[in-house]
Amino acid sequence: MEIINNLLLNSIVVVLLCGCSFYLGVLAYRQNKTSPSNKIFTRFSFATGFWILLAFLTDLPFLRGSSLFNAKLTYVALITLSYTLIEFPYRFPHVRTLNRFIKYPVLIIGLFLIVLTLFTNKVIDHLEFFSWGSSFIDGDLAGPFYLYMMVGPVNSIVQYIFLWRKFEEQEKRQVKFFYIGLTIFMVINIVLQSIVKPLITHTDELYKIGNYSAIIMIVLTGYAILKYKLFDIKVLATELFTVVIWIVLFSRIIVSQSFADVVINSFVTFMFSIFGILLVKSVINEVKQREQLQILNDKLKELDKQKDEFVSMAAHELRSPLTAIKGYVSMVIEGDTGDIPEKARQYLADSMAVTDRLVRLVNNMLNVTRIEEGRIVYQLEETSLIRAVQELYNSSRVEAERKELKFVINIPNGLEDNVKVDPDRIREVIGNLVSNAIKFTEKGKVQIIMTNPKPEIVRVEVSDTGPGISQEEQAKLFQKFYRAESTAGKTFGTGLGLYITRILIEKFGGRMGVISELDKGSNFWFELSVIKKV
Amino acid sequence: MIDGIPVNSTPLPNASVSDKKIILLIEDDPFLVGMYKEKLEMEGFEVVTAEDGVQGLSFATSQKVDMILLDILIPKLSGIDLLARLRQDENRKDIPVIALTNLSGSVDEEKIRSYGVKEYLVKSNYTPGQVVEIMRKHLV
Repeated sequence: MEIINNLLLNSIVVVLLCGCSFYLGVLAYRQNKTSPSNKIFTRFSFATGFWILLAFLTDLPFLRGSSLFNAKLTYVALITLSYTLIEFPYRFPHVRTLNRFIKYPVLIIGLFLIVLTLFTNKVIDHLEFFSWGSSFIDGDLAGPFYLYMMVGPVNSIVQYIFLWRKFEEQEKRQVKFFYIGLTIFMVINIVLQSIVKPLITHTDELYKIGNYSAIIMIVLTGYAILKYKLFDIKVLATELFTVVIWIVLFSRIIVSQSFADVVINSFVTFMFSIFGILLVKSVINEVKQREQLQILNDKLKELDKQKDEFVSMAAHELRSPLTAIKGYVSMVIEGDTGDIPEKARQYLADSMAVTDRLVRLVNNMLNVTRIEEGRIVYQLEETSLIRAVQELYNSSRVEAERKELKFVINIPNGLEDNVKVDPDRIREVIGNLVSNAIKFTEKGKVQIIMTNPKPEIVRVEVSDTGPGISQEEQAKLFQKFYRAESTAGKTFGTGLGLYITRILIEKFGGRMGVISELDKGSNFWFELSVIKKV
Repeated sequence: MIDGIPVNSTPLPNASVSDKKIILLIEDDPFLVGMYKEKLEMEGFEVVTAEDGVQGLSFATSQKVDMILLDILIPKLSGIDLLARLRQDENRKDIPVIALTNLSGSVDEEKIRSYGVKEYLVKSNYTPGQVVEIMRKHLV
């Protein structure tokens, strides 16, 4: 009891609680002056702050003269608080209209109770003073007042139960915080009023604890409203922490026994003030930076999305004319328009090869963003690797012949080639390797070799007699946008082909690599697991 | 009813007039319509073309069709929606469909495949000759 009724301690607690309530109210209001949630929270926290403050003033021995008036004001604050809680579910987290046939009668009853409290002794008859403070003695109409006090919290709880299903995840979290705060507050008060008071103390002695518990409700609700829009909670915590220590230090000055104590305590308080200001400032800075970062991050995400949409659309639009060119040329080559001169066939075969190269380029461009973001959809099926290799061999032959390269394919009989991959993508892989080999080889030969190094593995090698790749370059070869030094400027390319190829092969559970030496040609290979045919 | 198209069509007539397989080509790019139509007719198919989804669905539900070549990004009713409606139609839900589009690797592709298309072909990866070859596989 001693501790609870210690005047100095109570002053500190009340200053802290009121400061915290008012501060949170102002913070919410300043954060968004038009948001109904924030506005009602401001009213809510101010009413609570005034209630705690006025109740404390009523207790002060040296303010006995105005005690009754302060007591009445305490009730005014409580009526305001209860009315606010009635409105609360209509403002937070959504705005709904409160039926005016409910709103105005409730408001008028509240105002009537305020008038009754202030100007008559029907609600508070008089005060009785004790060493621990003052006790409110009920007037004839205290009953309706208590009833009105209950309506607010009960209404909030019931409303939120009915609204719960309509809330989104974030709103549920917000309301949960409010609920926890309100429940703790109500439980503490009900326990004090209906168990502790009638059974143990028989006086209002411990009512303070009930009042003070309101801060839990304020802080949790404030947190719920502010947190999801603002990082300020960290600043708030730092500020509160600083103020608590400052008040403790300051009160030590007041209770100092000697002048030396005063000097020392003042010095410590002063130093701490400087430290506290710096601490709060640095936290504010950090929070601001984080907000800035968040904004930039959001912007980047938006840009990235736009880029991706652009690439998707661009690829789609590029593919249409490519389809027509490729289609018509292929029809002419296949003889759909009748016989054509051999020379013309050669030219068309060339343009076909080049068109295929363009198709591959577009595919790579489209793939790279999707693969990296993991948004690509693979269609894994069991498929014959020999067939894929042969198809690519056939379609690349013209390009190789054009450069007068020897282009051979080497597949041993009885090769195990059944693999589980995305058939379109594996063609892209082989196409990338073969077209690279032809592109970079000026004379000599390009060879595709398939083997089973182990019975459960199938290996595809694409070797050429091109310029070869140095050890240093080999290490970087499979990175995005990397183009071998020796080739940059000589040929076109995006530096995406091998990067995509490697990622795809890895996706299919295989591995790939290169064996090469400068001036000795290159051998690009990949291996995949063989799936036994059922 | 979708824009005047009955969801449930009349049952298919039992006997076809000619032996030619009827292909419904739903495609909005006139160049590609011309190209595929020519190739398909050359290969002995009868080709009906529709340049948007609504027309396509209307043809698919009002006449005999042996196979549909379906583009996805088409006006009025997208290929995905068209497929969804077709699959609800008792009399038409088994018509083989080959998605022939330039859209690839996206969520849409997954969705289209989930409607049980026979193939999902990226147009630019195949010549008309290859498309016909693949079609024949599913027309026996």
